[in-house]
Amino acid sequence: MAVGAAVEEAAVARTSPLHGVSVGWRPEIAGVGIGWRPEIAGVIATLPELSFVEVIAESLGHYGSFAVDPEIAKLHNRGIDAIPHGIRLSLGSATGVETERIAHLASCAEALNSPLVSEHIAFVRAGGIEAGHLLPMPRTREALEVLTANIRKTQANLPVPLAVENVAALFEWPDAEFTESEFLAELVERTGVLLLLDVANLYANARNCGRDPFDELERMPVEHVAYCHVAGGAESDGMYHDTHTHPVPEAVLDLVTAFAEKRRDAGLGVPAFMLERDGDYPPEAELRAEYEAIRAATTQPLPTAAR
Amino acid sequence: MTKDNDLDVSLLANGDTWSISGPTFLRLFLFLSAVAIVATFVLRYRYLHAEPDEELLSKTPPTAMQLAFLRDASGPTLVAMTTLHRLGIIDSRGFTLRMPTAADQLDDVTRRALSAVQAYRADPRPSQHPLNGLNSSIGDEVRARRWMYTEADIWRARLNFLWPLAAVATLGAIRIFAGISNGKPVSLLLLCLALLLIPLFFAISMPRLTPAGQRVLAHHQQLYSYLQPQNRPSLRTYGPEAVTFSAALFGAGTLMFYDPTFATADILSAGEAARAAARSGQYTSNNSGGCGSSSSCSSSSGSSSCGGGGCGGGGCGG
Repeated sequence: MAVGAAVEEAAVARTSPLHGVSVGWRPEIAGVGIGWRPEIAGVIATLPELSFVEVIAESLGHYGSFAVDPEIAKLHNRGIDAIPHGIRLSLGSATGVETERIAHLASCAEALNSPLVSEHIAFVRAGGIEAGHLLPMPRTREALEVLTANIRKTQANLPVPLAVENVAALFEWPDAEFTESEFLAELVERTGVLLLLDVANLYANARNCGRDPFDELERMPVEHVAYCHVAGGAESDGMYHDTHTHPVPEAVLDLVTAFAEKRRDAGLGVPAFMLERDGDYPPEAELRAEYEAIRAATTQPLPTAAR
Repeated sequence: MTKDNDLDVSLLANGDTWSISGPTFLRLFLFLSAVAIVATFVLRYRYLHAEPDEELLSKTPPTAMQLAFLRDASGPTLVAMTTLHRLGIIDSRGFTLRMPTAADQLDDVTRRALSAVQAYRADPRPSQHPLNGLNSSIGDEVRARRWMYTEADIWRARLNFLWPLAAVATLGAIRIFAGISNGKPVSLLLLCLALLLIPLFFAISMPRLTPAGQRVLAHHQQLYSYLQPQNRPSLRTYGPEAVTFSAALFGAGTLMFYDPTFATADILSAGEAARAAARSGQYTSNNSGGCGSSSSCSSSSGSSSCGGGGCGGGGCGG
């Protein structure tokens, strides 16, 4: 608790030299949310105690043109926060981030009056080639320099704080100089950026690399987490794939519970969690059950067997 | 002869119809025409946008068939065929798979749609096309609920707002007859009268729906806006009836995500229906359903990953 509070206090006192948003300012999001997808908008609109939705920023029009879906506008009018979630900024690109893409994220945040925006710790283009995929960063000092510069530039041009998400990876780059948690902690230290902790990605990476996901969670800089993703996946050929099209496994829900407990123990309060479902949408009852399972996982104690 | 009598004689000698000179009457007529045009369109706007009677909105909720008819005259047929397909009575191309049973609880329109599809499949002549105006009672139902105008309503409505134009036109017509009788040139006045036909043509047109009908349709389209084709609604999530409701409210666009073969089958084809209409002269609807106005008809039926933004989540590492 003392460590968390001290870090937070220090963060509040620190203001980025590059932009007007206090680096340590923590946006007020809590409760349970869901990734807004038009295919299931009718169910999302009726979820009980929905705190926020996350909207793919690139789905809100293109650069120069901007359009908020009427279904999102309805939620917004009900006081439900909408968080723009970028997928193509490419914070890990050695060639830097494109100003127009940052401006689009900023427009999304302003139009939706969002408390923060989020992106991925990944790169999606290099050498003029679009990967069409979120590629993991090598955990090296060189990569850290690139990320730091790009995150600072992004923060400087955003009206709200930025949170960055850990991605799932089926492989690791060689010559890693940091563990994932060390890498994230260093990134936070250098930029004051908030974290979007994807619990399912943490689980997938730990499992595919033969590590204990609870140990990984223990080492995460939890005090900087703004909100969390929870998604489903499936095992194939001995690897766990973060598909977002399968139900959320019990093991991931146990991690949700463990993280909620850890935050409570640190006196930081339960962070906001949200369900990500990106396809093969189930019947309404199943979707609601998944949402309710996350709500329950944030409040109930962790089963002894899972510890 | 008095002085007054002298004046009368001079006027008669001058020969102005109704003692008003032609140019003066023309100016007066143009002014009155302008006033009448404005008054007609103001009255028309007020009539067509009058606040509907609350009672017309709050009665029994509309059925999917009624909403479909409000959206489009061929809507009930589209809903009926979607229901037949959903229940497995017809296949994606409109061939009969099984005969309906009591458990299917088909309504009258759906039963007749099945007969129409079977007749078209047996003898695919354009005049047999199921979209060529399936006689149904749905129109009578919505007119009874005063959501659509009856013929009598339409003429009653026109009387309510066309009278200023009609009055001025009548005045012009009488003046023309008087002018002709008086041997005066009337060509300019005739031209002005003819020009009045232009605003009359626009003013006489009536929408299909009454203000209450428009309100009912708009309310339900807003309430179920998540079923719009551009949202690519997950029919597995919303349940099988959602596809019928989406077709009723928004046309056939969502059918592309339900069954592309069915959505593009000739029994639902707008092009086929239009061609059939042109050939048979029986098609009276202003929209044949088909893909309607949906922009999604040509898009893929596959669900997009990561919220339509390409890659951002599942399997992408996000």
